[in-house]
Amino acid sequence: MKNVLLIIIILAFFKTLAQNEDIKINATLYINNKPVKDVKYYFIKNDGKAYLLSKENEKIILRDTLTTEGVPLMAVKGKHKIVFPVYYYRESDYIKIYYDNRIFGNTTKKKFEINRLKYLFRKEYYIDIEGFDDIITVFKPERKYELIE
Amino acid sequence: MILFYDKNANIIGDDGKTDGKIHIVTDSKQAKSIKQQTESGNTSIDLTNVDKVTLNGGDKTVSGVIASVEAESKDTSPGAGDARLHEEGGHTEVDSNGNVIAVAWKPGAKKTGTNKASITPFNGVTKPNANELADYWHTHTSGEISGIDPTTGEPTVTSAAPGPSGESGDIGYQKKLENAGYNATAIQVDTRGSKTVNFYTGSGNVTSIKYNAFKKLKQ
Repeated sequence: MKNVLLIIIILAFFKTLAQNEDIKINATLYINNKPVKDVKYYFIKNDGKAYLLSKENEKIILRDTLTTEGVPLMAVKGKHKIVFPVYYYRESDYIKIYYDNRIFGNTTKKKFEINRLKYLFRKEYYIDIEGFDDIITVFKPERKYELIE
Repeated sequence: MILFYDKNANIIGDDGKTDGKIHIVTDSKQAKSIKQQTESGNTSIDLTNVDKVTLNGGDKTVSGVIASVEAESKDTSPGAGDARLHEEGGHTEVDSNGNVIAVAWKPGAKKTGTNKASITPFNGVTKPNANELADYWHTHTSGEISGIDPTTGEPTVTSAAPGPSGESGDIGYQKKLENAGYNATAIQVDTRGSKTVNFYTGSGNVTSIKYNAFKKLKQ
């Protein structure tokens, strides 16, 4: 009986360890179809604050203690502040964020089969998450978020 | 007589066989060369080493794909509210008498904006053996969902990404089939925007033709 209990405790320990492994996702922001560097990524909590995520090379790191279906993130690069949800984050190797403001030669809208006149007067971003078959369109945030470095 | 086509569904030749298949020559230079051979009287053109996509199920595959595209735009049952928000699919198989039959799969679940639209391959039907399966296909959704992120309250719009999904989705599944000895042609249809029919392999090669051209294909 003691042996069984010991095995259960050991299994539970390893399960906890496995659950606490980090989730690493390659994140790239494309502006006018070109990848840009030095993008900061934040995790938005219910308190409305955005907490800086650590990175390993170009991969953002999330702790695998998340239980929600979607994770709200924010990417910040210069004047671009992009708030977007990430679904299927445990299955995703990459997140690609696209911004393209070109009226002519807008290869991003063409790539995603989005009418070039759609969102003509809004600042929109397209989020492509591996494993989530839809493209998520988000817009310039309606709220301001306190950035916690 | 087996006709084959260029990517615009123009008839460009004949390989002299009678196997019921439809070939689409995907390389424009090769298609032009074949057309010239046909015009000079060749009625048994060899398609070996020609870049092509083959609809092994011929007309039955074409009509099956069209039926799935039309079903995607409609509710799966009265009042379901899943028109344009669910995936459809099907396959063609060759029975023991050599006849090709098209089989429609059970439609996929309605997408909500936070779950991806999907259809389980061979959903609700028996998966044919490798020597029976001719082609298989599925549509992606044409509808959009406007939503609000529950944490941030920011608006979002989700719509189907063009093309077959990657290693964890469509292409990964085709790779598994190929590794299991299947030789069927995998087809995915983008129904949002200008409709496109994509043929894909397990190694990720994708060849596309316009849906309007695809509909013209016939044996």
